[in-house]
Amino acid sequence: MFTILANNWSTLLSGLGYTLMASLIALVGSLVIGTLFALMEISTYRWVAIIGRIYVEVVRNIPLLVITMAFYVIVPTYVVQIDGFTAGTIGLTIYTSAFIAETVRAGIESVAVGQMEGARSVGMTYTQAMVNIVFPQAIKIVIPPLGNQFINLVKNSSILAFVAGFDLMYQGKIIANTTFNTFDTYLAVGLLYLILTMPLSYYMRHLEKKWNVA
Amino acid sequence: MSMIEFHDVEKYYGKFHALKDINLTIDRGEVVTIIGPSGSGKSTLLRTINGLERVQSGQLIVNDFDLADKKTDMNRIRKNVGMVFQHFNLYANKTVMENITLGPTLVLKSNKEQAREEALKLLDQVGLREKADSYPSALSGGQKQRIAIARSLAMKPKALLFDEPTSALDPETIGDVLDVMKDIAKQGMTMVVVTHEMGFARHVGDRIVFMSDGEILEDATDVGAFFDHPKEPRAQEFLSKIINH
Amino acid sequence: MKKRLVPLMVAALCGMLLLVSGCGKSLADQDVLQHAKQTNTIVWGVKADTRLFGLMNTKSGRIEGFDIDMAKALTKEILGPKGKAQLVQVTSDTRVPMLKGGNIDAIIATMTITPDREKVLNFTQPYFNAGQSLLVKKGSRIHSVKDLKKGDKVIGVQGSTSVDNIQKAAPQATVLQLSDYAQAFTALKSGQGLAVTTDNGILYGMSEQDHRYVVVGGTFTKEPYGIAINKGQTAMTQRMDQAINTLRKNGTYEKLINKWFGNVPGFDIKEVE
Repeated sequence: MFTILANNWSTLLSGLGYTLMASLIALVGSLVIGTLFALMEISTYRWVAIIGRIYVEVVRNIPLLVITMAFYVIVPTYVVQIDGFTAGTIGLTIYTSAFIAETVRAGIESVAVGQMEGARSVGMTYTQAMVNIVFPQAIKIVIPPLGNQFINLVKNSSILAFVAGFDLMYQGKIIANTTFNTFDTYLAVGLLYLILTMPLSYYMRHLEKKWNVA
Repeated sequence: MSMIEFHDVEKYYGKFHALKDINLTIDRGEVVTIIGPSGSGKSTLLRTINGLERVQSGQLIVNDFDLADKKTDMNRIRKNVGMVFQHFNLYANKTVMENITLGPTLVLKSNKEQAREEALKLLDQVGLREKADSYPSALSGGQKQRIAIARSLAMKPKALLFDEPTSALDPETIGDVLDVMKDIAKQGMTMVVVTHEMGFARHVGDRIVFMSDGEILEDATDVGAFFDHPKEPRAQEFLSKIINH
Repeated sequence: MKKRLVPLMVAALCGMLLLVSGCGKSLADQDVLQHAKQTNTIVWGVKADTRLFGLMNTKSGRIEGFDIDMAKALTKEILGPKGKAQLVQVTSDTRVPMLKGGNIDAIIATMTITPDREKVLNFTQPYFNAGQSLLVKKGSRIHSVKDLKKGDKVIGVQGSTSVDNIQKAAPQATVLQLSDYAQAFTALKSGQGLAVTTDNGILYGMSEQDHRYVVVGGTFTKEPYGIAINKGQTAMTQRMDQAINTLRKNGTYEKLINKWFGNVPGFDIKEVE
């Protein structure tokens, strides 16, 4: 394994960079999109809620590979030219956003109805009440499951390998195919994924503790 | 001069007829208590007054705005009509001080310093100045409810609604809350109070409304007479149960 | 009891092994040309999964392609008009063991003549000049490997030697590696790269399927297909070579090439014969 690491250091490092970049973009993107759809799902406007519900149900029940291939093949053919990295990152963002929407929705719904009513009763708008009262309480509840989603996201970023997105898994596959040292290569790749996921996991735990004090 | 007017108001939850043909006018400065058995529609009636529940038909005028009209901005009503809940609904993520000042700064755009000063005055009024920096989770039920009242008062409302404010409290803390309410009543606030506290209804209220099955059965300005000789059989039955209890 | 059994079993095992290997030997070692003449049949190992060369027609249940037609024509040439060509499906992994085991007489299955293979097999002269090439969209500025500049993307298939070859032939180009040929072609269609690179035989198959894509620039590696016969079967090898020459001379070869590749846009018979 160490020879694999030593001989392919720069290749694996560049793969790690692409994986990190895709993960960060998808993390921010899916958090924003997911929260948006969570808000749609709990909207009192029936049609908005239905659209939110359909999005979440459709997206989270389709394999990540299919969503990603759609962006890799269909979008460039009919809409705009995007490369494998972009297609993979968009696919990953969309896919994860559905799970985040569900997590955030559950978090918001677990904040007692009275909190919203209390805020509305002094004349706060829906948005003011959400931002000042409900969200801060929902975040505490949502952080542990959100942490799981984020770790899954980093691992799921290996989808980029299928669309030649130059990520860690893609480089790993190529090294395995040229050296035929499959086991050691994937062991090295696994180790590098740990380097990404462990700090994330640790940070989410830290956040969990920090928010629980307040 | 009327503050709240119900004209032929109907309210349904699906097929359930929650409020039946409600006609009720409450003047400014009046203290009205609403009593009646559970599920009689008292809380629903109260919640329609600040738009937490919508009415389906009839006219509901609060502070000169028609609440049955969908174009009416509910936030403007709520600025002027405060609400005190059975379960307090204090913001769990905010300190006592923030609970009180958040409404004025966000909604009334008061400056922070001014809001803080007024909050301290209100805390004095409810006797909880030392709790300014506590979180709600550190307060007893009675303390929470006094803070909730202070929070409502901070908005300088034209009317205050109380939804069973003492029902969730330990008996020994009820007195403090009722004292604060009496105080507010004396200052001439328009108050609508849904309660099971017959003592408060009898001695503080100017007027008593008895509800059952979504209807107003009695509406008496002579509160003493109502308690001594209720006309309605269902009111007689209800009072005998409460008093014997 | 047990002790006496062991030598007995060893003896039996040895006998069986001798018998099996002996049988195998007798089958593979006999002169296949003579055997073919006796039975009036040549048994061919062919592919059934390669477009244009040997592909199972799911409607008729028959294998069809250039390799198949060549096998039939060669059989008629060697055994006369009544000679029978028996087709046995093989894959890249099974074809050599089957030939060695005597299950088939000859392999005509997109098999490249390589020095390593020549050590264990006899090959005829090349019958199809295969090699690595490029498939591009019609009208592309890429006309050969030389046109690939820095930053140009070429699509290959993971784990194939064709990726190494293109990196040597066009070191400035970026190679995108996808998991199989179907995905590689799909990626080309959606504009993810300027060209797909692999054996021209496979590229012709893609081009024949979608005429908007053409094979350009000839081959930049030499991987000629030959017919393989077991080592030592000199008579059959020579006869087969002779037969190929005859087919070339009498126009059958050109006719078959045109039948299968005439439909491929931009196909040039000179590149492959």
